[in-house]
Amino acid sequence: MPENWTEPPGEKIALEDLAAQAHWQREYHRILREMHDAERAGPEGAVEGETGTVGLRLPRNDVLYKVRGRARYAANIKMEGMLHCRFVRSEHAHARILAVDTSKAETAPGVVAILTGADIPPERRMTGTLTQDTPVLAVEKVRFAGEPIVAIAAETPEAAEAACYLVDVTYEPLPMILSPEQALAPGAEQVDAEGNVIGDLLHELGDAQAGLVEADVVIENEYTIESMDHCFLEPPSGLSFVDPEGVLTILVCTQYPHYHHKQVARVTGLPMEKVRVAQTVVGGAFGGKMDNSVECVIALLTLKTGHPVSAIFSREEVFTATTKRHAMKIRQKMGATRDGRLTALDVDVLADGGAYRSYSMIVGGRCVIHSGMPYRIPNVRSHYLVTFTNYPPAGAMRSFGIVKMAFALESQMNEMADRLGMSPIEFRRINAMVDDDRTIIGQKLWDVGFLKTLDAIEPIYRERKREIAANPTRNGRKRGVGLASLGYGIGYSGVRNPSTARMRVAADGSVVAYCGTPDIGTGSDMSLAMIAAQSAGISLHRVRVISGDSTKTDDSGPTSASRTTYFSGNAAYICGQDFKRQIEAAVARKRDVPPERVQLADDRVIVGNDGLSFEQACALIADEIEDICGYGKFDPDIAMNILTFSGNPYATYTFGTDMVEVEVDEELGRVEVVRCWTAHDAGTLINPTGTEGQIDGGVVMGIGQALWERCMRRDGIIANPHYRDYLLPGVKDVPFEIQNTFVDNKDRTGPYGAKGVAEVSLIPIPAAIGAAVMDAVGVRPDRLPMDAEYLYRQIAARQDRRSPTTMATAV
Amino acid sequence: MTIPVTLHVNGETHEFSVGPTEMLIDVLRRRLDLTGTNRDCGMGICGVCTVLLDGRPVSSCILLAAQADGAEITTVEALERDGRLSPLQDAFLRHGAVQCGYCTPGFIITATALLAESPRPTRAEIIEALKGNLCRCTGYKKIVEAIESVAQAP
Amino acid sequence: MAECRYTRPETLEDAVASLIAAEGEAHVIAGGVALGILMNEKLVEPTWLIDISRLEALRGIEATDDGGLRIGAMTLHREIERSPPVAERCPMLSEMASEIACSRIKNRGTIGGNICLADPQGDPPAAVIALRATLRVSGPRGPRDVPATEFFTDLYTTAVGDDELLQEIRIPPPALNSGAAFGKFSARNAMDYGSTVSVAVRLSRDPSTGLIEDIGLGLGGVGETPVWPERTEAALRERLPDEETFAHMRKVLFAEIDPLGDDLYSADYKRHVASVIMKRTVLEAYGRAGAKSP
Repeated sequence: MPENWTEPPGEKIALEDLAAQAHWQREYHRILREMHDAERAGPEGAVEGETGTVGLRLPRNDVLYKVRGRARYAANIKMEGMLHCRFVRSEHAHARILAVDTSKAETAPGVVAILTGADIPPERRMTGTLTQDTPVLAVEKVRFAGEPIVAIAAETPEAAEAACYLVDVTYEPLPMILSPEQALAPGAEQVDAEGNVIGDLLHELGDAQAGLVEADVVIENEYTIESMDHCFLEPPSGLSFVDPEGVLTILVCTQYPHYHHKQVARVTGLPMEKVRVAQTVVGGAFGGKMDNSVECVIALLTLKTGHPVSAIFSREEVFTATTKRHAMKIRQKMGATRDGRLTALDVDVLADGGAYRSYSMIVGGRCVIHSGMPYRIPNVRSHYLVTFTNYPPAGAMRSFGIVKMAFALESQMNEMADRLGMSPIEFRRINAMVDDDRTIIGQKLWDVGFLKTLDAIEPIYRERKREIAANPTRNGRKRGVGLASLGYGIGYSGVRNPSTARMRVAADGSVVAYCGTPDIGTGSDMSLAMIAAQSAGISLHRVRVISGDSTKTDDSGPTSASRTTYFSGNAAYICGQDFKRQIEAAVARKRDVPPERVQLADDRVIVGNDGLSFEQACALIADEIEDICGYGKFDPDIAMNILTFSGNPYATYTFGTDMVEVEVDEELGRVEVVRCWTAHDAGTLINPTGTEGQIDGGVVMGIGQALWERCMRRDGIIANPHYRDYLLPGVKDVPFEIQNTFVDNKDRTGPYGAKGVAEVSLIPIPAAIGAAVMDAVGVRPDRLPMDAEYLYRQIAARQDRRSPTTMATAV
Repeated sequence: MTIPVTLHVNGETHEFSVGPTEMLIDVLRRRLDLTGTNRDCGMGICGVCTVLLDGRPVSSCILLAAQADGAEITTVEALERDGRLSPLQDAFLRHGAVQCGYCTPGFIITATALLAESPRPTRAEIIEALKGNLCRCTGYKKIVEAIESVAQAP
Repeated sequence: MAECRYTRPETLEDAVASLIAAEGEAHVIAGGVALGILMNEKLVEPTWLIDISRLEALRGIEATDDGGLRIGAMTLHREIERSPPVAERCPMLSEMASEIACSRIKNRGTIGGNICLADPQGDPPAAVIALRATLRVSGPRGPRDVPATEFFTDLYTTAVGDDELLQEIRIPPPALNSGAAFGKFSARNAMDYGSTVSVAVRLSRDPSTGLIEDIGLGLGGVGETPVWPERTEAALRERLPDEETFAHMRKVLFAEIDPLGDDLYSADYKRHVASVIMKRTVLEAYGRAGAKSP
């Protein structure tokens, strides 16, 4: 039996002891109060009642610890007797495992335990998000280079690492499948026992062929998008131990602790109540912390050794062994009439799903549903085919594939507008979805603010076009502007994904709101606290959010798909209302008055003509305060048949339009994005500072994807598993001028009218950059990333076509 | 072989025996529990492990502890004073310059060195000083604005 | 991991003595930037580290009587970037140093360490080649001077022997009517290590005819070593920097360099980039040569 280890001190966000935390919580509240008062006095300060905070720019509790270097990232937590885990990973992209010899490693200094896949009973060996298809540790064969085979726990990280080199794995290499085309070729080596196709989805609305015939102008292009990495800066890390109650506890950076809770229970064979997965402070995720990384292995090693076990991926492991964005080829045919009406869209997507299924089907479903979004198109055919290959699994990443669909669709829209001699805004306006329009799978829309985002961008677009027409070059570089739009469904695609919240209060008036969805760095805990407090009618400073803990909170789904503000925010709102009613009822009973005569508002309980502070009210009801538990569940009626693609897949949609200005060094093909404007229909902004941060960050990630980012996949390996050749945008690579507009459009179904925004600003950016490049130098990029050499060749080819004799280039 | 080194970390003097290939970040994180200095790329590129060595920013992940012998080292934990945040820490909090926070200590340390050397930098100088630090969440704008607010404070 | 020794000599003589004792087994460590990365990547597992970062004799920048500069090998990039004598006598070197990576790297990296690493993409090697610097090397047989143009002998290999150290870099004084410039291409404006192309130019201009007289060129990122493109220099000498000259230069340069394609860019594209950056940098230097100060 394992020893029992007490969880190290510190609350979820901070590493310090409680005395220090008490001081810093006071400090946080001082700053919060100061900013709150200043905000209320300022122009944006018009909010509900005296204690409402929704719409104010407020500082986040976790950030206080982050700026001090005391945030509780998993890698920062130490425990007495803690062991360190390292992995032996496959050197082959596709091979049978003939033998795994750990005998030399077993006797290596410092080694405490070695875990192989064979140590796990066969029925518990697999993990996976939708399908249990991914071995915790590979046993029979490996499907990608970097797949884990053996895990070693040792007294130091160095000892564990050194022992990994002593493990001999004998492989029999198998033919590698390195592209979907290879996967589909007759007689291809089978990556998976069920064949090489992960999913094949088709949806048709009307008759796309007839629509194309009816069109005056048809354009057809193929777009190639390479695989990319999330590049959250915090590598996956976690710590497991058995607590004094005998509960196997995993502290881990994750977007979805309740998923890992189920997986760890299954893999270990423990009942779920004997397993707890609690999220630590997460250093970025972007969809890359949805799948199993360290959780199952450290859990098994703790059971094997009785010791706490820590595992931290290296940056190389992040690149080679975590999920990626799908590489895709998208072929699109679009038809429109001369007066600018879209008649048809025909889409074929061929996606590289990598070695295991992960979220490939979710990405696929979303791509099909979003085909043509946000435009009204009578005839659509959308086909999505995703196959296995011997590269790391492709999974969830910010927008679940829609940034790629938008690159294709919006590039087509811009080209079509040019062909029709229309402004890209006018063309979009003719076809824009409005209230009561239906999506291609028949969902009726409401509160659509898309046109307002075009209205917001239009004057800027005209002004920039005029200015650039007058000054087409700057410092020898060609200038251009371009724009693109988006429509995006919030939350899971076509399956119910409820969020819940609970609120409890202590006799001293301090309130805890329990929300299942974890804060992955976006500030969602703060937004939920603001919503819960305002809904309950109490002051924000009372409310602490506990989130992302499988024991303390309900499973409310992951923080992904831009869903937390909308789903958990609604749950927090409903919960706040319930909490308020319960407090009012309890006070009414004590005062022996009908409950309707009691009102909790502005942090006071009004009983007839009498008023109690919230603390006084809590003291009054102290003997029954334990009974008070506000509960809120938000579970919109989402249902879709994925075979027929019919139903209502999303509870709401967010819309937007982004515009960029670029300067292109024509001789070199090098692009700089010098300015950016965004307009989003995000509903109400709960904490506008946080919303802006999400938008700015999405823009920068979009610039990275457009210009540099790609996993260089060569002969079955990721050839650039480091920031030296995987190029992320730095501060000098992005415009300082990112001007964000949020159009005035409340969503009647959102908490205080809010929608989700976490993913959306990213979506149009690559297409907008493509349009701006076209505007500047006359070539239309059809590849991501559109790196300098690619653009140089496009530009040179165009110049060759124009004057073949003088522009002979050497390349 | 081990090498005796003296490190003056955040105002306290420590004597250590370090291995010849031991990096400064390991001494800080593992021996001194100064985990505010984060680890990511191991190549001096991302900037999350930035500390001050005699007042100047360096990557602690590629600096041998032996080479830091005798130096004054400042980590993010030393910036707060008397239970209050430093002006930069305070500005990062108020301006929303932090999301996931993993890059934050590196940015704050880098900016601290900049302001120590040049208390009133221009925006261009701030951006130049930050060019070696990566952030994946914020888009940089609010980070620059936070630093500007301190640089322009009366 | 193998056992490793660590030596931190106090004097140049002690350093040389350690090198002799190590019989070629030692890694000399200066600022430690490159070696730190290579060790983390497990590409280097040193068994003996000789730390010369504190050899005071190897530090410092001196304006010499002949109008040139003497720069100690252990001088930091940061010190070069901010040195008034460098700014006055060889502003191209200040320009080059300011463009190196970022402040963290400039605060540790040394010009000598960078030159001795002989990274084909290094910037200081290209600069010292173009400047016709002399590199003074110390060893058991005393100091000897190696022209920068002959210093980089092979992939990551220099003229410095196993028992020798680079002591200092001597930059000759600028000629009359001369100008210099440093040009660089990288994928991003953020610090880039991989797949950059850099061009260093120093030239003088005949004030009456406008012809380029003397010219020194150095290139980074276009081969297995830092490159001295001797024939391309000849193609520019005694000519006006006009389109005809650059078309000719391009042909000669294409034939002279042999870049390695990598994961970011093909060899062909790097050739093209080198030619474009060279043209721009030559024009920049030419413009400066027309101005009063070099």
